[in-house]
Amino acid sequence: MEDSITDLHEALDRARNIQEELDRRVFHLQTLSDLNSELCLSTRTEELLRSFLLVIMGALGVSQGFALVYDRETKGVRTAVRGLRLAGELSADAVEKLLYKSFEASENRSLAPMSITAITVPPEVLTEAGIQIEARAGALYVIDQKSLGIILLGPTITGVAPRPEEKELLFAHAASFMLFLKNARSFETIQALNDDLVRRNEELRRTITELTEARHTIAMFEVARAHIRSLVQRELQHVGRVNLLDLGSIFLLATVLGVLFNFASPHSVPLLPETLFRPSSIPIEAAAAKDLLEAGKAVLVDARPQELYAQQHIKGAINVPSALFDIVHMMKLGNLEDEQTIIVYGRTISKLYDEEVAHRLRQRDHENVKVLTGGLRALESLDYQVE
Amino acid sequence: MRFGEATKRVLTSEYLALAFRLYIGAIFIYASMNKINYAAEFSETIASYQLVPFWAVNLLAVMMPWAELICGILLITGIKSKSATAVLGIMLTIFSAAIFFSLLRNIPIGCGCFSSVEETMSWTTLLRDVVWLAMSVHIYFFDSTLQLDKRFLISLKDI
Repeated sequence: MEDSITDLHEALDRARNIQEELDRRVFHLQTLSDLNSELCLSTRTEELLRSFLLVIMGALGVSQGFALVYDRETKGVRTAVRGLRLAGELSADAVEKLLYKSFEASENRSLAPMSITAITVPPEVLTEAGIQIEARAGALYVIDQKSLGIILLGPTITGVAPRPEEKELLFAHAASFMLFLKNARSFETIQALNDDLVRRNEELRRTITELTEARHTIAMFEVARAHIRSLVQRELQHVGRVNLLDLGSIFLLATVLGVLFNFASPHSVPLLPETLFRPSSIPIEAAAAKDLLEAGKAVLVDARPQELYAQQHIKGAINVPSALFDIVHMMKLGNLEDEQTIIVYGRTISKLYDEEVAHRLRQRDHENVKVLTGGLRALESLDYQVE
Repeated sequence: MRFGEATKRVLTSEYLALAFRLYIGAIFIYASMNKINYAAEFSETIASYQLVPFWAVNLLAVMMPWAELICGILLITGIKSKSATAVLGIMLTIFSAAIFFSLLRNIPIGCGCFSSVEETMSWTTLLRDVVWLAMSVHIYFFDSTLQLDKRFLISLKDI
């Protein structure tokens, strides 16, 4: 009877242990389910790393945890830390060294993709890397050839060493985490590829726009070149010939420059003779002039230049060229009364000398100044003496 | 026969035309200077020829020296030298005719070619103008070297 009771107690203890074990396994499965639910919400590596560390530490009742993912291609380091502080930022070189030491300390030394292996990292290695953790469990995981990482867990809150099934749970969580991490990295790669594609599309669009503009510019230059060539060809044909346009241009340019220079010059001349704008002097016919001269009632003035006067002039005429008017007037006409009749003659097709001198005589208060119609020839035709 | 060909080659030489071109260009540039500065005196000279209507004398006195200067510069630089020679040729023809008729009419005036203070013109003056006219004719027909506009256009042709 006592043996039976003892057997029953033992069976009851075994059943209780099995029950506790089952509860623990259910709890573990529950944490695995929670981890999957948590991880499927995120596609970012940092978030996945943090969620994973939080869940696994909760599942195993661990107070310190450290997780790391390293990208060998970009040398990118991403870490998640709970319950401890890092001495500083982990450099790529430090991480590579840590991973190498971890690999050396791993159980099966494998770098196969999607593999995970338990590690026991020596404390001095962790101290050298600046990670102050009392690692009780650890794992090295390899996602693919370029991505790998480690997980380190500290002592449990209860102080009990992790059991083998808890280490299996760590591996199961880690395997699930790796899967999500791989997906996240694939997503990031796709995202990066998409960004790159967008950037390349933008570059392509810009290049096409530039090419189109360049094509338009080239077309414009081609047209301009053809115009210049035809213009040059035409000009080459004309260069050895007299061009009416050139003649006109020379005369036009000479006129413009001449007028402008004359406008500014201190020795300028009026473009049109002033006699054009003055009222004509009082004319006197040759016969009337002859009568006055013969009666001695008029003074005859030859207004032409000295050379022409010397060549031929009416007898008795006083030469008063306009160029020497002031001095000759003072010498020869200064004593004349203002009322004295003065008959002026001498003009050519190019110059109205008589009108000019008559005007200047009137300015000197001579009231009775007349211009001989027909000039020297008219008086000569009336047999007036010429010398 | 050979002497004749050599003479012909010299007389029709483009380099002789170039020498004439530079000479005539320089003469006209020099001739224009005094006239440009003293338009009133040049106006008196034009009037003394008794060929131009009185209302056009001053206009001509203002414009003609600049035409001489422009043509002289064009001849020296070899730009539009054919047209410039034609203009100078026309002007020299008019000057020669004016001198000729003034000599015939025995008008006692100076030539006024370079300045207003000159000796009375003579048949020598007419001969000088006729020689210049002959040079202009030579330039017109035989000048083909050192023409800047032609060179510039030929360089543009390679575009």
